[in-house]
Formats: sequence, C-alpha cells, structure tokens
Amino acid sequence: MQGELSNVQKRELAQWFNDGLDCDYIVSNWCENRGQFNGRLSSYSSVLKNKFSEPCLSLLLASLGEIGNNCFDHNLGHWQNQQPGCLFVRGAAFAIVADRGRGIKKSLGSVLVDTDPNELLEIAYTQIVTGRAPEKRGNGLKFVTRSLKQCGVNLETHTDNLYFMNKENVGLEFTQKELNNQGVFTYLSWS
Amino acid sequence: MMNTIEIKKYGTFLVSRPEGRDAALVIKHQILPLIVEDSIIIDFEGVSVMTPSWLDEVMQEIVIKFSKDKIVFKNILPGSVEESLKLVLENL
Repeated sequence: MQGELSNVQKRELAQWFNDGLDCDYIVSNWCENRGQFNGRLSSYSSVLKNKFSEPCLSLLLASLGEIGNNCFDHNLGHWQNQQPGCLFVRGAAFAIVADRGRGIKKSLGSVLVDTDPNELLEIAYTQIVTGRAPEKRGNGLKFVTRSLKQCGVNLETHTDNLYFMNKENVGLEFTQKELNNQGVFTYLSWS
Repeated sequence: MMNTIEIKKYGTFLVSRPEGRDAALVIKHQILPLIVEDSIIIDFEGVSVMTPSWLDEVMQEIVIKFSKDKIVFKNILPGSVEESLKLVLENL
C-alpha cells in the first residue's frame, strides 16, 4: 500500500467529490454498503498492526468504523447522483473515508436549528449531539477526536465549505478550494 | 455464570450500529429474560475492536433492566473497548 497520495490521485479524488466523476481509482476503493466497508476495514488491520500499538490499532480501526458508520447512517436515500455508498482508501500512512451525501450542515442542522451552520462541523467533533434526533445517539465523532489524539493520528474533515482539523503546525492535505461539495471527506494520516 | 454476557459471542470486530442493534435485540429477548440475579456481568474478553455506536445499542437495552450500579464490566482492554465504554457510560 502507498505511503502517500500522488497528485493524480488527489485530483481524481477531488473530481469525484466535487462533481461525482468516477475513475478506476474511485471504483477500486468504493464500498456500496456497510458489509463491504466493514470487510475492508477488518482486513486493514493486518497492514497497520506493525505501525501501531495494540490499543492504538484498536482505536484507529474503531475511529474509521465510526466515520464509515456516519456515511451510511446519515445518508441513506440522500446520496448525490444516485451513487449509494462511500469511498474508503486505505494507505500505509493515510486513510480516506468520504461520501457524497447530504453533509453535516444538513444532517446536524436539522436538529440544531438555532446554531450557526458554520459551527456545526466543530460541534459534531467536540460535543455529544445527534443528527438523528429524537434517537439518543451521537457519540461517534467525539470518540474519533479523543481516540486519534491519543494515538497521534492527524485528521482533517471537509464538508460544505467547512473544515475541521485536529493537528497543529501541519498544513491541510486538501485545501477548501480543492474540496467543494456538501458531502463529507475525511483524511487521516500518521507517520 | 448465568448472569454473564460474553460479548465475543456477538463478534470480536464490532463496528456498525445495525449489528449492535441486532445484538441488542438478541440480548433483550433471549438473554435478559433468563437472568434472575439482580446484577449482570458484561465480559469483553476477546473483543479487539468496538465502536461506541455498537456498544450504545447494546447498553440501551441492558440499562432498562439493570441500573448502572448493578452492571459489572470485565476484561476491559485499553483501546477501543475501554474508550467506547467510557463514552457510552458518560451518556447513558
């Protein structure tokens, strides 16, 4: 598996995220349903086991699982271009989970109606809230924030002209201009 | 022990919320009605990966029958089991 994205792959990722353009790279990393996503996640552990301690491997896989859960939990019936599923790129030193769904502004904004839409992404990662009220849920991304911090994994998430990152002194891998869609695009990286 | 739920019987890589819901329904209808003790043990031995979403579904059912102080957790390894449990218990 590759250690970093090539410029061509970055361009293909952006073209898919922004405009829904498919290519071999997207198709080969596509998960149409949860079963495919979980299968790919489970087999990823053999790639990562020499890079992380057991607790951090467990936290990283669970974090990716939570991010993938959100792709399906919040977007069933709301995919753009009738393209159900999410993208899951597994690298040796990075991972990407992304969907062209309705995005955090719409899912969480429908519950936190009085909140500034521009604050919703940060709230999703730092507070216990749910985009599926009245169901009592919404721990997932808070867990991701806590877990990745413990294990020194960098995170950046883009959605609807917003971004959230957990890293200091490191630039964004993708600029806001490069990723311009209401869906959710999350990039994790580690050394 | 009759009042022990061994989580590994539901899997060792426990990620998706719907799978948690499936496990919760089995526990609700087939396990909890058989427990006559006033406390319950939840054993995480053998679980390698667990998300809060999976665990949340299961715990929502268990706390209907057992208050939090009547639940004993065993074999909580550091990593996603420990962190998921911490987060879910904070919000039950």
